[in-house]
Amino acid sequence: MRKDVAFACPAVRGKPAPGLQAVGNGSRKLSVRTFTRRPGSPLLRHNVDWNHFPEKVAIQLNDTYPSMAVAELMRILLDDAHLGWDQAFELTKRTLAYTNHTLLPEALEKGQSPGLKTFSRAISKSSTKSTGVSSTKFVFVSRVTTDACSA
Amino acid sequence: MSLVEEGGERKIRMANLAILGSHSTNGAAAIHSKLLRTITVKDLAEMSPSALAPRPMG
Repeated sequence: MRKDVAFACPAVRGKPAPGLQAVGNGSRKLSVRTFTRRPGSPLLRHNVDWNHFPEKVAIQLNDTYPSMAVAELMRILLDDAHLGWDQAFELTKRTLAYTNHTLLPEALEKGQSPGLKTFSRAISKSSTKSTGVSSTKFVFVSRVTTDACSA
Repeated sequence: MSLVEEGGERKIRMANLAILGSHSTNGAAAIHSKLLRTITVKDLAEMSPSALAPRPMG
């Protein structure tokens, strides 16, 4: 089965950072910028049942810069594909994998503006729709934490 | 363990987000993965051991 494998990495003018290569049969290079900002992103053009998305696409988050892909894929699955929260979170987890490059806690990246504003908007939009609770910026985050704790 | 760093301006801990939102986390080398698992994100590793389990590189 053909499976697209992509490294999500910091974008330099829309291209993946130097030294990073996409691998796999029929693979495509993809920057996190492409993934998160373009609705017609190549990885999202599969006309497949979303339940099979993780079998068609694998995204490797290379360091924390593309972590936003977690929120963005959740937003796509919730708002565009109209899936339920649990199903969307399961599909997101199965699609994404992460490579850590930083051991020092004080050096770990903290999301903040302007990225955080976009992030928060996605969170608010998704969480309000899926849970029906009032829109607070970090409902998504607390929900993810709760889910993970109960898993 | 929280995804949100409190105190002053709230910030998202991007590494925690990536770990919780993915099925697998690895370091850049075996020893890196081990230190990550035992020190840096010890709480998350204890919560979901399979996501940070040792695995062969390459």
